[in-house]
Amino acid sequence: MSEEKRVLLEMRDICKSFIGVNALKGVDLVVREGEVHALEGENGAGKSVLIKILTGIYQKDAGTIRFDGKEVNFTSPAQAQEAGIRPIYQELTICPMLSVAENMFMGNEIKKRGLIDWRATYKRAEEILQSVNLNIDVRQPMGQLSAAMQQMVAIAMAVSLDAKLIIMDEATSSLDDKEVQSLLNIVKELQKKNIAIIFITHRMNEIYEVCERCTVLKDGEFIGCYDLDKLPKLELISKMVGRDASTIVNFKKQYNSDIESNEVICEFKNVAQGLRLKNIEFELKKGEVLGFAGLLGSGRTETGEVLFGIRKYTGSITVKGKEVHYANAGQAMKDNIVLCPEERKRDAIFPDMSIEDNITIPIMNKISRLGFIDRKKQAELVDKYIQMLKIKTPNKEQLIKFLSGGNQQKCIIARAMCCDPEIIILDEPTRGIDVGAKYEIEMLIQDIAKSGISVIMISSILEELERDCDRVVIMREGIVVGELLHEDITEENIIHTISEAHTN
Amino acid sequence: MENDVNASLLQIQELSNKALKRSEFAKKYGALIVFAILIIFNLIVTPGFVDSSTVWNLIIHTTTTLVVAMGMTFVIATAGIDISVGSTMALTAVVTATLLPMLGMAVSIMIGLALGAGIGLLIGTLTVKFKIQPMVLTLALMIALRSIARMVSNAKTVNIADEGFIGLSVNYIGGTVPVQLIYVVVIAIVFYIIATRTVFGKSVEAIGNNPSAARLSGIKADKNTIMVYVLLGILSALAGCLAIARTMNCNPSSVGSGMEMDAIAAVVIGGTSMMGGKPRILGTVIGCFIITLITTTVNMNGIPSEWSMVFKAAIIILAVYIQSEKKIKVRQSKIKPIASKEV
Amino acid sequence: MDRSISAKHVITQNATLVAAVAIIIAAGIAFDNFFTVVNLSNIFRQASMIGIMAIGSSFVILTGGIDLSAGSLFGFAAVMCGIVDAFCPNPFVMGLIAILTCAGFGALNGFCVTKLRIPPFIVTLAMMSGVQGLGLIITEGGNTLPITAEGFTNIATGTIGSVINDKGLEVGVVPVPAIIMIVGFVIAVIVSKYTTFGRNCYAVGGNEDAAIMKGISVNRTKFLAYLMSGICCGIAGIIVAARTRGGQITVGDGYEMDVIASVVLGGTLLSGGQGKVLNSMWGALIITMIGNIINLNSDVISYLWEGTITGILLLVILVAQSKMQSNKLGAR
Repeated sequence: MSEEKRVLLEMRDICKSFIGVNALKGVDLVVREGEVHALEGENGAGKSVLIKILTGIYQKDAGTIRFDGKEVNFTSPAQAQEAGIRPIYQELTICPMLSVAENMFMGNEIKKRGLIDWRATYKRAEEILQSVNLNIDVRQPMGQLSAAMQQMVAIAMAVSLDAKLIIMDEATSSLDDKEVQSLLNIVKELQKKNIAIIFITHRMNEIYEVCERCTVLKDGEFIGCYDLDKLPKLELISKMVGRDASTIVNFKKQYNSDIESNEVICEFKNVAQGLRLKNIEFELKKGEVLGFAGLLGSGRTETGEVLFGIRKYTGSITVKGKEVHYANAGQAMKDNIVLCPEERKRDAIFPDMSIEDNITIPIMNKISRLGFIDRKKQAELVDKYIQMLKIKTPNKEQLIKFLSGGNQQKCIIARAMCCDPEIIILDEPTRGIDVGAKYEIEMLIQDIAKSGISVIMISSILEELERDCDRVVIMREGIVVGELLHEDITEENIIHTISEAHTN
Repeated sequence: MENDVNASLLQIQELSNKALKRSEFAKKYGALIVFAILIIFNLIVTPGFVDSSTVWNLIIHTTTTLVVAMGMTFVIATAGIDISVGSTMALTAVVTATLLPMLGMAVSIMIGLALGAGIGLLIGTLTVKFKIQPMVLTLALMIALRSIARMVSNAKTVNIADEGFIGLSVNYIGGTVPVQLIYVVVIAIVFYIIATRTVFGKSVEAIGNNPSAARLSGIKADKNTIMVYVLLGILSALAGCLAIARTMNCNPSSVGSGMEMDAIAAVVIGGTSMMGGKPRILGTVIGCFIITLITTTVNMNGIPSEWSMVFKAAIIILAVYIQSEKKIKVRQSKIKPIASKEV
Repeated sequence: MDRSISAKHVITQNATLVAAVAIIIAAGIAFDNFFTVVNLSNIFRQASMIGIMAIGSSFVILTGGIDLSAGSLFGFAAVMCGIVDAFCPNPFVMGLIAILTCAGFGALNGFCVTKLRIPPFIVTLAMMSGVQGLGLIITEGGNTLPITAEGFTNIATGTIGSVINDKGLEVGVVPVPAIIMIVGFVIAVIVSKYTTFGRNCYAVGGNEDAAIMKGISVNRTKFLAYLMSGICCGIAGIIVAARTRGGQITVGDGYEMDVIASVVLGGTLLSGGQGKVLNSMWGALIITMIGNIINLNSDVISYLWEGTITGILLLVILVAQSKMQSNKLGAR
């Protein structure tokens, strides 16, 4: 303990809420000088909100932040950078039209007699890039560089600016193996210079290669801060995706082995998509709940999007016996395939429209005559689903943005149901909703499957998959690495399959 | 400890929900409140305001703007804009006026409307297919169409003699009630129904409210966007006919001049967001009346009419400010501080 | 680096200049009354007002905004010259007060856009109507205020250098307003390329989130852009007052559209973040030349064609721009 390094950053009890959602519920983050600290958690765990609070983009609602010995409350990114906190975001921070050098020195121009000295700027930019072995034309527009290159440029820049703390938010997600290695080498170099690094990644190997400690968040809650020496990979994964202490859902699916002999309604053969998906093959049977497990970045969401026609792919997809090539969501919906997307707020909700309209929007054509919506039919349908799904709302004219997350999600599922689907793709159906509603939604999934609809359930919560699925396909970095059936679907088995794949 | 955190989280949520409801209220009723204030002000201050002729004049002077603003509401609801409406009015009006003596009223009006639809089709297609920003695209058309309109009549004013046609705008029902009353009522009802009860209206709202979700719900964004511009083109042509019927001649340089500004202002005062979303038809109707009422107020009080422009500016800014999405800030002071944990 | 790519780059970057030169050459060949000293200096004199306003608008548009109030501010500056002339006929004082007034309106635009968070389109639309109304009130319904200050008209009609024309008369070559415009553009190019404010305009318009994260004050940048646009309108207004020897508010009617068209012709994207300020000058020249050529040859082309040609030219450029954009995206 004597050689323990000085604490550089101490965030305590950080709370933050957005309209209708509590994004952070009392989170701690402590980083020491010269430490590489991993910040882990699935999508929606609150990692990026925490980082945005630290870097002054969001303001915390409650809690304290101490940096470099002083209590701080950054109200703008400029202040955070002034203090020596340099974030490297995945995409947000570039102006694609401007040159590489300009992007590097934006907000921090090199000047001579009050004017920007371009010659010095270009020279300095080249020097900085060469120091990390990058040889590129600093005059070309940033947008012409590959994502990997952009990332490297941003890192090189942060390094050159006397940063005390560098935050790498999914910095490696778009890099290939060689680039990742050189980036990790840079991280090790930085560490030697006593610069602290908060490292966010979804690749386990990287965490264990460079990080010393790891803070885990889940659903906006602080799970713990661990020394990675003493925490095996298996345990880390189970901390991230494992049993939710606050969930007291206690039921187990009754398996019906008849489903195994049901007809195959959808089949993937050799489906690939860029870097995201490689050679995906699986079958979906009528009336079954097929789970997709895997960590963030494993390609589970992309698989669903490929089937729904909103992501280009190569390979063959067969639905109800005929090969299909959907070019957009509308075509997939004509074949009775529906998707409830992962990012509810971004991709599903029409916040300023009523519950009624939100539920019936995809089938408006079906319940209308000469373009006029049949209000009676609409009301009947909506009432039916409000009752069936137990949507809690004063009335069906209420704007959906005033509902709780769970009820919003029920509306989205109701929307899918009223399309009379044969295949429902549910991407993270229980994200951001409270415990009671989670249970209801899981029961609902069972009812849907019983009525003969095939469900594809994509989830990062393994216990959910364990409870709800007939079969689970396990993915890792774009590849199917295993499949589990009935009783074999347990949290332990899934974690085991994932981490085994990682070791190989 | 745990309870403290939860309590303050609840408190934060409540406050932000309240702020949301406030802004929703402002959007829904902002225009109505401004209108009511204007009316009350007039009742107290303006001599001779309480008279049926005031109401009839208000309606007569609002009709053309209202017709255009109905279409503009849908365009703005898709997060688009069209500043060529005034020029479209001029071109279609001058074509109709020129053809009137030759082809008769019905045919020439139909040709004018078809031309308006064609212009809308052009704008819609170019925005959707070439992804040109509607603002610049319609700026180019605003300049070009006005010029073409003047070429049609060689920059001369076309006189209109067709009694039936003139009757469109100068007839009175029972000798006192202007025919425009019918137009205003019918148009407001028709478009309110289109906005709230049709697949088209809901699709437009969905596209403006969340384009990404609209795409994932299988809504045909391109088709609906083009339709919206076509609709506005037709309505502009209709407004052009009503305008020239009232003046009984068609001067291609002045018909519809400044219309784009009045129509856009009315829509925005009415609470339709320029970022897209709900087409608030009733809001737009009130917005149109607010704009006319400002002029009426100024005129009836014997104030130089130029003041109405200044008041208009102030009221537009005020109305939009009331409705603007303010950053919902939860004040730190309103929340109980959480006792810090022992380390 | 590939030579052919960079050559293509140079042409696409300066497409407006190429177009302007092409029009000059074509018009010079086609119409013998075009390529005269008097006519060319006239073109510059006319273009200078739109050009100067386009400087300010370029910065506003680079930040992703728009200024519809340019025409009204322009007219109001002329009116201010007339008012000040009545009690203090000193060109310097008149100019200063006109510029300060417009700077005030520009600042008000900036305040509403940044602090009240009202869309720029609405703010400047309201300002356009409001300022015009004020101008009409002051001039009692749009009367022209006479300007008698000694030397004031030189701002517009003065020239530097002279030649003897074929009738043996001495005519000026470079009009003062053109010099003001060129100096203005030189300053603007320096500001846009070599100052923090200039680069911030590109950053704010190119990616506002990125700018915020880099610690750039978005509000300050936008505010300054609108302020600058106001000042430019003031300067242009002084020139028109000097040219017409009077202050009339309606002189600027519809000018905002010419100004925006110049900037768009110059290749600046209305979505912000991309474009070269200098190209707006070529845009202003093209717009002026179209009018000029038609005026000179009214027996061949009707003056009515002016808007049609400008509008169609704008359309063609917009379609070409959108093609170029999609090619770029496709390459990535």
